[in-house]
Amino acid sequence: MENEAAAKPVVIGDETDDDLRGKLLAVLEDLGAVQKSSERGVGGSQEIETTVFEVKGKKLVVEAETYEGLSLTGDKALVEDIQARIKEKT
Amino acid sequence: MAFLRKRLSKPLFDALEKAYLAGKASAHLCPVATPVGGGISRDEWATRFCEALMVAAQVVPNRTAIAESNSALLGDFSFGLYGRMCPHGVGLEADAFSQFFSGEWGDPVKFTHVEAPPDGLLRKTGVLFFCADRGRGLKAHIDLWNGEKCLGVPFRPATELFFWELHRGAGGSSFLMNAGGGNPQEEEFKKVVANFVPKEEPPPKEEQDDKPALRLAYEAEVAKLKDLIPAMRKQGFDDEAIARKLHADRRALGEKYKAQTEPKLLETIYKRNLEKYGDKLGPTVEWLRAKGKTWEQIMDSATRSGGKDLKFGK
Repeated sequence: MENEAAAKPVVIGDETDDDLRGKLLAVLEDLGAVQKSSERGVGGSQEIETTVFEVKGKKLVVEAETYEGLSLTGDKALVEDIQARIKEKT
Repeated sequence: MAFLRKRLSKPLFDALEKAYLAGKASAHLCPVATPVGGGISRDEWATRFCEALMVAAQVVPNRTAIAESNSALLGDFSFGLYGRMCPHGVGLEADAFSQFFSGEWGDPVKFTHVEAPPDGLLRKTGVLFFCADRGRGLKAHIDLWNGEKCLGVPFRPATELFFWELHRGAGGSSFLMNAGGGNPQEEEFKKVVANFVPKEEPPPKEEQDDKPALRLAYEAEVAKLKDLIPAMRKQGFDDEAIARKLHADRRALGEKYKAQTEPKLLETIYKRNLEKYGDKLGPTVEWLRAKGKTWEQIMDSATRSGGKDLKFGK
């Protein structure tokens, strides 16, 4: 099991890149991800959208935040696998 | 003593369309706007249009709030100079809207003696005003044009046809190019800058049904910020000044539209912002610069919102 406390967000691109979002969702679908929760809010300049998935029994947090980008937080191997698959879709 | 004129900004077409199509008839039950047993000749299309406009422009949170309002809604703007309103401030006449919009949004694109939609309207969206000196029914009519057809009544011949373009949300073209009728960009820019402070009216109420419209309105206003970039450059502002202006405006918009966020989540975001950035409203320009963000990157993030939802089935 991954050490969530140690997991750091990996920024994979721009927070408003719809093309990237589409590819990410397609990859997660390919991996059989199950969406566990999703919330979106705006506080000051920060628009934050957080969606939690379960992928192959592991928790993956996908987050988009103003100025910060689109990030993945979770098991290192899983995050790297997702990044590689996104790249393949390019 | 200074008198300040309160202006009505152009709403996003999507928001206006949504509010207009939400009810096929006027929901405003008012002895003047909706007289029982006759009384005055009224234009229900104008009333319905006005209701949608007030919702889309965030004057009220929803249509039912109009009748509950204690203030004359359009009376807070300059509508009273042009035509009659009911006691709640609902405009009653199409031709008054035509004059009001000319005052607020600039001269329309004008067509004369039209029998069918002019080519110049195709694929554009906005407000149409029809004026006819012949034919049956109302001689003046106000409607929405979705690029192909009117949303209220079928397109009708008109002696004069006025059009104010309103852009759709994401991907819409330049707000500053939206003046129509030869209004200079600078004038429109001044209007944008003058209006880009939180309005005096209370923020929209938290209400489940209104959240999508609120989000649309928020995203539209964020997208409009992008139009400040070329306009400010044209006026000689450098990238730092533009980035600082856009950063401040994005913060202000977040506060203006905070009702779109559940109160509990809003508190969580404020707390997170404070811990992460040392500021409840998000990173300061200095924080972003210290993290290596360029002025261009700050401008870019400040002027873009949302995107596709990060969830399946969307």
